[in-house]
Amino acid sequence: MADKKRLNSSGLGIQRKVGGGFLLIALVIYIVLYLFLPPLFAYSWLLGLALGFILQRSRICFTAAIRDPLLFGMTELSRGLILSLMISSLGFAALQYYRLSQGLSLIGRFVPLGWHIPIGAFIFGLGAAISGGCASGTLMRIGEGFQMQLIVLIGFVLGSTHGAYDAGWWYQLIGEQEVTHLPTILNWPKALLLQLGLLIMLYLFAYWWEKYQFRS
Amino acid sequence: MNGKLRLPKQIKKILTKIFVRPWPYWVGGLLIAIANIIYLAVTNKYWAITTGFARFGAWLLEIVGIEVQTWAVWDYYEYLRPWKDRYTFSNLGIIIGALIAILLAGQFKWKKLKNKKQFFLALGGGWLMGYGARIAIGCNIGGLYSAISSLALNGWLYLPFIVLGILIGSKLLQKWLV
Amino acid sequence: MNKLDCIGEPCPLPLMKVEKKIEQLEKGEELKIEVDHTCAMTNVPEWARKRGYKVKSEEVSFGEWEITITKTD
Repeated sequence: MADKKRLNSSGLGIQRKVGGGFLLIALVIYIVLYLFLPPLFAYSWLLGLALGFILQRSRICFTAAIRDPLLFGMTELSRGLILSLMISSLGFAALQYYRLSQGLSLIGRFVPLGWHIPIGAFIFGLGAAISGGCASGTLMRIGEGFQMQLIVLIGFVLGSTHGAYDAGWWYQLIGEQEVTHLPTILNWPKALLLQLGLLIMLYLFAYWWEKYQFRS
Repeated sequence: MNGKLRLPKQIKKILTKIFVRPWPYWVGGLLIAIANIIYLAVTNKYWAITTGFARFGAWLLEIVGIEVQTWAVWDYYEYLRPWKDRYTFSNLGIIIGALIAILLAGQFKWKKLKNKKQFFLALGGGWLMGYGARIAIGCNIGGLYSAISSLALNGWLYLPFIVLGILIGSKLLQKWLV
Repeated sequence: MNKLDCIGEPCPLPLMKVEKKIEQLEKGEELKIEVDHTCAMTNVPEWARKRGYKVKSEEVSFGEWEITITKTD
């Protein structure tokens, strides 16, 4: 590490040791959770650890993935996340298909359609742009040592509670369309074609957009 | 590095690549997808974040004696106290996972608030995110990532409007601060 | 020497400032940017490289980087 002449190596060693210590503690917590609580909590803890690690290492930020193409014409991060969505869609679809064919319930994140989604998503986007990060980004950056994101989290909890208090009023906007699972609305081949087609089109558009923005 | 442990150059290079240098975005994207698929396969649940924040805030109000269990919002998702809520565990996990990652890279720094303006932007931005996520029933993770992964129309409806919000928010930020 | 102090600034501010500042520079001039945001530490060099500028990045302290961009247009 020749480029770190000005950094003293003992400080680096200390950071690594503390990091290793936290890793050990995290694993102990996993075991304790696994032994004494329903396994869902241990798995959720593990999911969080893995995602926090991956997000930090790959600098993935959902806000930046949406913002950077619009502001700076850069789409590498966006394309990384579109790719991620392609793979997760295939995985989710396979699991859903298997469960439905076994007569089990449909799994996934479904919310009835209505104006609450556009309005809420817009407000969320405004906040994410102003505070420099979305929900996952805020948590990841607290881990990175940002005091600012601790304030964001406080605001986040306050806003969430405020929103939960007001939600009864907003949820009058929830519409009739309760089934939002594309394969149920269409059928499996059509839904997969539509989903992957949209993602591939977004990917290609992002690729072209960057080329266009940085043409010399 | 202090002589105790001398690793072969090749291995050192690989370790630096994994633990110090930023990963390419597509690697991160791929691994996030895999983690989510495994989690869904094992628990039948999807990744989400902000519902946990709402439950936590409501629980704080409950402690000081405010009646929260009657809120209409819990018709849509159950009210759980933090220690019975899986989101508490995954959210804390993200913080600790990122902390471990940055410490192993040797790049941890306690980054202080710069000024008052930043404080109010952070608090206000966080507040907007929290409020918006409750209205839309989902943040960028539950409402967008997990929803689109589930082949759900609600995820695709979410996308154009979060894009619009981020675009306008960024333009405002540019006007105020640059 | 042109310098930008972006310590403590979250994304997207560092890159917004860099974009604005670099417009005012002459060909061949250098811009030094100090950042401590891990996102800016990746996206500022990424942007500059895509513009075809010469970029050097150095970690000057734990979690603090000095990025040097030479405008080569």
